[in-house]
Amino acid sequence: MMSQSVVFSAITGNDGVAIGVACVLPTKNRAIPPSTISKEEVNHHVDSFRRARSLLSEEISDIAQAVADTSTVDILAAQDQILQDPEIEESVIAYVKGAKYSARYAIYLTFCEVMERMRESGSEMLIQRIVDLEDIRDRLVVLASEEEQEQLSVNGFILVAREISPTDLVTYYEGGIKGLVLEKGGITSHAAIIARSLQIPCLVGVKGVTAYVEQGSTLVMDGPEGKLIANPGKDILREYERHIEHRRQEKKRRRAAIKAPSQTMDGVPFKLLANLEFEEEVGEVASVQAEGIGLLRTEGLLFKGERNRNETIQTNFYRSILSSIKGICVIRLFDIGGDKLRDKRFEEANPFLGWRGVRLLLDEKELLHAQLRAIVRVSAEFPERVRLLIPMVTVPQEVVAIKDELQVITTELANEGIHLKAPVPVGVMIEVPSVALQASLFGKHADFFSFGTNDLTQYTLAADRGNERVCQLYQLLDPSVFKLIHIAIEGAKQTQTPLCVCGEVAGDPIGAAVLVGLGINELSMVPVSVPKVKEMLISYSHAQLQHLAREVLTVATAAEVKTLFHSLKNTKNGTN
Amino acid sequence: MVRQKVVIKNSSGLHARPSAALVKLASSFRSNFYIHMYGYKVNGKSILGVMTLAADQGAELEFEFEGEDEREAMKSVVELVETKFGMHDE
Repeated sequence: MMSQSVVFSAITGNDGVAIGVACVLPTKNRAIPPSTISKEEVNHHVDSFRRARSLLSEEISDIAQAVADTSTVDILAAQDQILQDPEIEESVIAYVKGAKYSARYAIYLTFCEVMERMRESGSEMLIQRIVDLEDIRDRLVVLASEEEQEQLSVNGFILVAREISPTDLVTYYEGGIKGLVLEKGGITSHAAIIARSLQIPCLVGVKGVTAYVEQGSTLVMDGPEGKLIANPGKDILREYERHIEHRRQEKKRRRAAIKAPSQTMDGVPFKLLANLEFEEEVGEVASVQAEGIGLLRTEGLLFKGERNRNETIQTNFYRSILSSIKGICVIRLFDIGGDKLRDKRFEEANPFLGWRGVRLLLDEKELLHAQLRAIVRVSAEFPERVRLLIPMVTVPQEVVAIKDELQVITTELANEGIHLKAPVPVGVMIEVPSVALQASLFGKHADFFSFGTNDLTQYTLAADRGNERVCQLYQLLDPSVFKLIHIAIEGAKQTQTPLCVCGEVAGDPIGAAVLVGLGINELSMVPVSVPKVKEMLISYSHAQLQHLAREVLTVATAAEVKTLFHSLKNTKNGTN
Repeated sequence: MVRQKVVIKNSSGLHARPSAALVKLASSFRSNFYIHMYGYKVNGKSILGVMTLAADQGAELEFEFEGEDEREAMKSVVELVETKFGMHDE
């Protein structure tokens, strides 16, 4: 379709440069372009079709078993019959074997032809069935494309998709992808956060990419410049290869900073912790010498299905993480919305202002109790290392309610012979502005505070971080958010409640500089950011950072914050 | 090979549900199954083929089975049509 070099502008989801071959994930309802295969691939594509067909058939019968209404069961049975139709099979296989079409195109073409015949028949009954066929066609094409790619293996590929679920992303990561390019989303969309945490270069908001980039074409991802180059020329390719080598050297240098003590030039200590979601990342925590886990996200357990809500599986997950790291581990209770827990029917018009986090947990006692039991169990095994963090707190009563539940569970487990040496410390996330403004009231109930700056920023600026039309309003370094943090710090002083920041801003060197200047001395971030934040913090005095923070509180835009930091950097270089 | 003529008796003709029942039953036999109607010939085990016939009440079809269980298959399938696909006429 396209072989000349094309440059797309992109938002950098995770910094990094990568060169690789495109693996484009199919999108539903998209015209499938003709694609041919070699003689050797014929059998594999016939198998891909058959496997896709049996997967879809299983899916249909799973649904049929879950519904009671007979007319739905009839519709599903009819869908399955269409799927198993021998004419369809014959035609698909003939296209694969004869014309050497890929399975997905052979399926697409076969169904289109049948649909055309039905449309021409003029029979009302047949025309009504076209929708069914279209649905089966699209689902089958998606499945067959996945089957085709499995054989191809994604190892070393750059994945290109419209959007991707966290579970799929982890699966592709395990398959060895080199980079991720998404048509949708902004810098703090879930895919970008996970990409940072898994340390794969990621570009988001790349408009038109799935339609234009051909399967198998060469791609260059340029994170620092925020662009994607498809089919680069030889010179450009060579330039990027050099660049990648340069960055490798830089990374090596940064690792040296890891060994230095964590204190500013004038000896004020700080603590850098890691944010973690998947067991796969645990090795990285030790290698960057993070002093513990400041935020363990637990939602991954829920994405992986019903079974993982189970207390034993959760306990094993927490235990495995605690036994592979040093220091504390702050376990955040499930931070999800209703649609993640039930299904799409629980979608809300305004999910970020809806039933989520602690609001949902207090209604879903079974889910809450299983998690609290798992947390108390691991606290008993790893005394003084486990802390609990409550997400999406809005009013103090929510904290009291969770603490009451925790007390009940602690007593319950004590009766079962599992005793705690000390109660599990309970922290409150500051992500709703009401908590930041009234921190002293929450401090009476909380053992510590943790700023969830991603949501705090989104709630302060009223901009959806995943919406590419407005995400430019969402600025990590917006001074209004620093002002809220400053207010909360002043409030927390009254109750002497310790504070930590676990949002993205903590992993940004400029953000970290301002936060430490404001008086925060515990920062938690994706493991990969630890070395660069540390390298920056140890090269300034606390007094310099305080000065910077004071000035940040007087400016209006994120751009001015950056300018302030750069002028601090220049003075430092000037005096040295 | 066996061939036999049948007439569709149920009022709604060979619409979605009867087609499905016919294909399901015919597919449980090993013999090949074709349906002839007004010069068309379709695979009787293909739901899409049977549906495209759009046979109404009173349509005359000819069934053709070919294979080891052809007689048994013919008997069962004809019986299904004769009994109006086990459906109460709506």
